[in-house]
Amino acid sequence: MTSTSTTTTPQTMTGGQAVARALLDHGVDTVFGIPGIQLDNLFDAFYELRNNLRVVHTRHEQGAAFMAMGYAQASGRTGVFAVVPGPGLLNSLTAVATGASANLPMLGITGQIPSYQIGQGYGIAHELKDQLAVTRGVIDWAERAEHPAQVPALLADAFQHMHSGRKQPAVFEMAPDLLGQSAPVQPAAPLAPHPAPVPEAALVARAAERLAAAKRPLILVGGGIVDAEAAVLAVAERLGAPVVMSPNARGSLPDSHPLAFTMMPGQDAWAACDTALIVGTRFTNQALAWGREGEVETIRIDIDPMQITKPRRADISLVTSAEVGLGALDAALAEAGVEARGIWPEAETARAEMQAKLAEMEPLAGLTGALRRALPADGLVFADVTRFTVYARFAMAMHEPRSFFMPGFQATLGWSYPAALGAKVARPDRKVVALCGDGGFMFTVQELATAVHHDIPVTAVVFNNQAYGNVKTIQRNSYGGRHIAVDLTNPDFVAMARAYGMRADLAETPEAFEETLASHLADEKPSLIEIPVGEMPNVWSLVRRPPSAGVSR
Amino acid sequence: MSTTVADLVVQALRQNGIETLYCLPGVQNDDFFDALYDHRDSLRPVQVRHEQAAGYMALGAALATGRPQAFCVVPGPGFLNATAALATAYAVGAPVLALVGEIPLPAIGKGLGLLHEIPDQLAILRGLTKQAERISGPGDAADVLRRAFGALHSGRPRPVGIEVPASVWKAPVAEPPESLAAAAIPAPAPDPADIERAAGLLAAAERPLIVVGGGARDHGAAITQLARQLTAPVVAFRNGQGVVPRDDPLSVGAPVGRELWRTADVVLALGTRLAMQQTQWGTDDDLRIVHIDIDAAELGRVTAPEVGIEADLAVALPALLTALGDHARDRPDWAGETARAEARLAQSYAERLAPQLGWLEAIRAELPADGIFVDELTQVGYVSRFAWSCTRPRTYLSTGYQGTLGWGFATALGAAHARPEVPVVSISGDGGALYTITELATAVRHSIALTAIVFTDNAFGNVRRFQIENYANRPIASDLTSPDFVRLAESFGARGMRAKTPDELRACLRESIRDPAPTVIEVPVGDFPSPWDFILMGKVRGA
Repeated sequence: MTSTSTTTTPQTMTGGQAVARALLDHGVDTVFGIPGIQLDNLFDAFYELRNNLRVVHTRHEQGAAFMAMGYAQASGRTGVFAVVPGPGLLNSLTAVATGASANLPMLGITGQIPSYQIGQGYGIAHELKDQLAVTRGVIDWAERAEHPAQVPALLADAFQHMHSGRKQPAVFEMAPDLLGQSAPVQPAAPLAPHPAPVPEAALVARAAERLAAAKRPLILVGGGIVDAEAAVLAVAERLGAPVVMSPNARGSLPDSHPLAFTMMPGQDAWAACDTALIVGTRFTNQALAWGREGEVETIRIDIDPMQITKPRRADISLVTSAEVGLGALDAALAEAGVEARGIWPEAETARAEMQAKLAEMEPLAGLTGALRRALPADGLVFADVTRFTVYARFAMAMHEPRSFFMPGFQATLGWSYPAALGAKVARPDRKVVALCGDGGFMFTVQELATAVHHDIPVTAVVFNNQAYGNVKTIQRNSYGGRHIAVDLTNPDFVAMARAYGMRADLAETPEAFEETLASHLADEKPSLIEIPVGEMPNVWSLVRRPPSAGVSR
Repeated sequence: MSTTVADLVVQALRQNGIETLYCLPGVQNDDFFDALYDHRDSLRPVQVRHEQAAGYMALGAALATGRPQAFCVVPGPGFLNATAALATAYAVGAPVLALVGEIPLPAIGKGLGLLHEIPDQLAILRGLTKQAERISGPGDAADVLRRAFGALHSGRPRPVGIEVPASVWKAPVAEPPESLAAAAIPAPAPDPADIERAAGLLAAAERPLIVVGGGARDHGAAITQLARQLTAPVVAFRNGQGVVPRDDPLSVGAPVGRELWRTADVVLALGTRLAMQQTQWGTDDDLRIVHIDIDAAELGRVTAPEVGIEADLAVALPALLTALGDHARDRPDWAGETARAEARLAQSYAERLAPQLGWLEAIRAELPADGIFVDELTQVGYVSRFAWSCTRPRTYLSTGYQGTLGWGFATALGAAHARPEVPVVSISGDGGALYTITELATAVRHSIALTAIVFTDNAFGNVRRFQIENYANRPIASDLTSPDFVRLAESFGARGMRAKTPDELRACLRESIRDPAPTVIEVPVGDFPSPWDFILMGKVRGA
């Protein structure tokens, strides 16, 4: 964060200017959004700062918020979106909930009805009974500025909240009359995020001792491992412990590393491990579906003191960041002379066996190989929920941190395409691909126009099976094939994308996919590739998951 | 096989007159959809491409029919996707049931991060509806369902929510009730003394004015009779359009109503907040107000009426007519003033808004009287709020105060699905049209014939207008690159047409009405003159 423009003397400015200025003071360079009358003064302030602050407008508020999310995912920086109150805010809340589930710093800026009419029920444009209460049903930090002078401190608090501990979204609102009101405003310098707590030395020593003594140690990592990749690699290599990466942690170890495991072989390694180091993950699916409660000694590192107790307490809990916690463990292990142990053989076997199984699953394996070969090693993949990506999240080789992205535990349909657009805005140097099903892609299809308007070169890959495929599979497998409300009639995706003015092609084989994708990526233009797919192997049959309809405790 | 909670919900929907479930299925609701499977011919699922459309279609169907309608979505993102539609249904007074899934009951509030978990879904649902409850098991299912449908059938029509956790659907119900049909709870009877006072005020008035809102939608006959007896002009803005046909000399749009408001002595407000009139047009001590509404909260929302009556208009209006008895009074001066104001403003519209009027007249000329027109936030739409000639109730659908950009296409789709016997035309700009454009696929899949007119100016035009006019010509983030809507429609297998003049639009409409099919008509337009002088009108009374 930079504070180059921060001064210490109050300046007269409008509420809108105070907001725009505070964004600049926090290093924001891009705002995704859709203007509207309640935000006219804010967007006018954006106009004044247009050389330093890029406004990327979209075709639906969900698109703006998902783009802000993708921007945060790809860069680690705050993704900012601005939308009108009422319907505009409501349209963005799915993305806010998705960002919360993926622990992302996203800032929503929204309006209100005029301040003197809030709560009167006159039926003012975009009035909700209690807008703040609605937002607070989704996230913790939702606040309203009541005066321009309040803006800098309130936004500084929002940024501190978003970047402290487990990162989270925040939503700020301000009434249109106050966005237009001029007043002396004292700019505020950014507040440093709260530092991670230093774990108790005795606990660290005990954890290191238990790990050193383990015969078959395993490390489970989730989205909290981002930016602590070096630390986890160091500990893993000392212990010879496989690092089981949740989909949100893919790429934190390159898959070429012998200790890099996805959750697919990870669940088999879990069945044989004796001690587990669990870092920056909710541990929900593993704890609820993988069993062995009481049989595996558990050591947990999590920045969130509440999360670390769920779904059950670990034997040793270190409340701190992944980086600090793993750093402390690494030092303790070094002191104990633990270094460069080899991987334990059962784990190595589990990995090899699962890789062989996955490699047989055609056409998934062929398509994944084609994608991997056509996309540069540092290319970014945004994986919507679709049959293909259920496979790819476990089977596609990833080479770099922050290169494979998912919509958190919300598994939100339609997130991937706008999120990929936001990522490309953040990282124009990278090739970016959005992988979608026909069902999911159509949720946010209007943002094809955004890609064309702003010339954002992302390639959407649409796997078309003419159905809400996951639901259909469940209806077939668990409800005797009584299919209801799952079959879809789709547009001709290629013709549709061309109607938006972009390049689009059909690819019917893995070979054609590889060639087409390579050519599209070389073009560096917005584009779409449709891949018609039929029945595909059911990847879920290989995955141990918590029962969808019940949690035992 | 024993009866489950899912079966009860299906039963309650069917026994309360729901015939269609606008929906998008998903894992938390799988058990419910399986229960629905056996009844899919009488309770037909219409699956959509984004949950917002499930909400908007139910809303459009409710507005077009006046009957409760239902939609069903998964929790978390699915629910949140439908919230803008719920907020709109709340604003316009539409009886829409939101049937929302939830994570398994034992996990609620634990913060485990289960699929589609959000911290407090029920609180959000309550914030957007008039009533929302969770079914927590077989023990309370029947009661929650009866209360929900009771609320849908009673009082002020507004959305109602029911939340059902995934773990609850399959719970067996020990003693299934025979009937879950809910009766309407009658509104309080009006106090006869209040009715007498209202009748006395109105009978003695020299310049009585009636203002109707969405709450008056189904009471056109009584209001027309009242208006005739009193020689009282009837003002409608958005949701009151068609209550008294616009071809009746006593039925006037808002700008004319404002002229009459200037000198009116008694106002009879029916099923309206009366907020725009009182806050924008102004009030003073000489203006005496009789306000009748089924929701007591509206009486005195802005200022206390002289006579405020909490009652169902179906009861209050006959009582008022009875109290007026044989009283009937010609008020030739007042009628003349009304006619002159109407003529004056018609002239003014013609001088200042000719381009918008040209398109509206073309649509009106082809859309039969019972055809449904769905308004949007677009330049032609703004003018339609006062210049559309609406002659039947429930044929002009508006977002009301919510002003929901993008509602139009999907809402019209619901109206067309619920009223297949009448033509439905929606209008939108290219900005609004893309919000729910994905539902072209729904129109094609379910063979829903509607005609969507898209006025394309490659801009969020109204925003751009304000940026240029009010912000020193500093446009930002308001220029658009829109698709070719004709080719876009064709890529979905729908009919795509283009009209460059009102005459061409008439020809396109004639074809789409004669041969009903999902249709998009792209109408390229340039800048329109500003309609806002006729909508945001200043005070004519009071300080």
